Amino acid sequence: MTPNQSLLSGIKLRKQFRVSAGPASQTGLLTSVDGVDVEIARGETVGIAGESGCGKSTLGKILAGLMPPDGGEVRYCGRAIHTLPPAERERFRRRTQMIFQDPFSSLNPRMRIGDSIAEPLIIDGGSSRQAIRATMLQLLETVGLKAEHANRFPDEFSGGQRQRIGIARALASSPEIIIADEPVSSLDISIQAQIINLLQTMKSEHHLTMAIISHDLSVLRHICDRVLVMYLGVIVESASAAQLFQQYQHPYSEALIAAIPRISGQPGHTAVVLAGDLPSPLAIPPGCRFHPRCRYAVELCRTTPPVLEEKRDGHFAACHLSKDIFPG
Amino acid sequence: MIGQYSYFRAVFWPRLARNRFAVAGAIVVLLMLAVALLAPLIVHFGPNEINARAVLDPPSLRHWFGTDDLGRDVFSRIVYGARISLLVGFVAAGIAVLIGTVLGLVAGFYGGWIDNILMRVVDIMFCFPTFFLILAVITFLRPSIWYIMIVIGLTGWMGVARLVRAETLSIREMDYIMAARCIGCSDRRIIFRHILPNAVSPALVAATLGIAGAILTESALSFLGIGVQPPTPSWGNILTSGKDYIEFAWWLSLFPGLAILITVLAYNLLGEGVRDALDPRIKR
Repeated sequence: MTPNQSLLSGIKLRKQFRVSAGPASQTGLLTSVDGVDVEIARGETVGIAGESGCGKSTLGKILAGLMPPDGGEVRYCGRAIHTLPPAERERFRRRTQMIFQDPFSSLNPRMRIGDSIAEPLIIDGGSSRQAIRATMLQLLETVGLKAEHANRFPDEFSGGQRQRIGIARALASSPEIIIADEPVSSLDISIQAQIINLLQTMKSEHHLTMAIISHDLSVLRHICDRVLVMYLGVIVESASAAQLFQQYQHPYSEALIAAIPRISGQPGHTAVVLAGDLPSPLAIPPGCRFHPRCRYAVELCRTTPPVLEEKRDGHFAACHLSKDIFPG
Repeated sequence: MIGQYSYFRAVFWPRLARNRFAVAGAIVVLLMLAVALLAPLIVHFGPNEINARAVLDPPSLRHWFGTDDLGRDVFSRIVYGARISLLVGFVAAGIAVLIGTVLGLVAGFYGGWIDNILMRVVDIMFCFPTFFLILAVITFLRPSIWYIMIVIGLTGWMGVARLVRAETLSIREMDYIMAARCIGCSDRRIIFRHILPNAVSPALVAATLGIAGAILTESALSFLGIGVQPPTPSWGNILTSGKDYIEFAWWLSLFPGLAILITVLAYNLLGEGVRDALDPRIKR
């Protein structure tokens, strides 16, 4: 991928939060995102995977321009967004929309959903009320809701319906980029598939570029062109979805993939259980961040942090041992 | 439909109507308003009509609430007093809620040094014993109900500001605020269209309770003789004239006292009903 193809990219993004921990209210510095490079090409769907607390949501908000990074920069069409003149920055912001995890907190409970969906159009200005209403109704229909739903309030809808409303609102801004933060993880399995299908349809109909954040690799598997695996604020593996699932090059990805529930035990697949919890982002382990939980870890892993390097064509991983553990 | 905001019709009213105490409160409140507005049509005697032959008459069919030391009809004075009390209540609470809501929204939304300064002002204002502050200010000014309203309003906004700020702080973190930023809402639009309608519940409750508080404060000031000046009737100064005759003319203290009690109770019941009806977490 050549740089001029990338629509949205993040260069050495870093974000820290000051948190008070413990009863003595000491403040600690929580490193949420620690030097992450991301490139998203026009039309691509990129998945960002990782456990809760690995910084994937923070990364999403930074990429959407909703949270300024402490270090590094976000580039839109190759230009750093913090250097854009206000009007263009505003344009970037509107053309980059987010879909949120919790469909119960992402809609204003005191606003009729028609008004929520129409709001981006009202802010854009220039359209008559009738035109706005027509567009709004069309959007409702696009996401599988009915015109009469427009007058209702969010608490009259189910989680799946609310997520559809969230998608309609995001589409109302005619976005180029959609960043979906755990779009299905609070929904029932049966509804998950519907929303994933809807996202895919929207993507092809509106020529969208998407980043989908999820802790569930099985969600990402079928819709993403490329998947980034994050662990404690860094990217440990980046590969096409197919490559990642067949020839993962990082023990963490191996564990995540093994954690996907299967209907029957497949021969040749041993369960890889991740030992322990995600270490506190307040005290990141030295060396490779994954070494305390890695079953292959050797002395080198405890002292030297591995760098993200190309193991195969377009397949990056940050592991000292990948060539030995995952040969050919 | 678009841009038209009628959450109230769809959700708020039906919920309020189901709360019997709140409905009772609302009926009394409306009744009091009607009484105040229609005062001349209700009473048979002028509030300041002196009758030397009917001094301190007990309640009768002619004088429902009896007469006072000058032979004035207590019922008429209470009816006219309702005008003063309600006016003071509404205007003072209105001033307090307006100031408190705007400052609370701004402090909670922007945070940082703006929040710090505003909240320190609140702390300082809370340090003054409000009632004595009002006493001090009123003694310097000519006693007038307008000054009373303004002073009660200016010393009563801090609680509202704190409540609205706290509500704003939690609403600010909701995803729909993030979504509003995402679609390009201005700060003003976020504050007034997304935060205010969701933070309005403590402000409305505070307004209703504030009316009750302001009525009480006005009564107390008038009782002390620095509020509404006689002969203009107010519930407080009717009580004052009653205290000298309490041993043999109980009606002179009982009825204005009941008027204050019932009105304040009604506003409090209504206020609590409004709070419950506005709380989206409470489902019935």
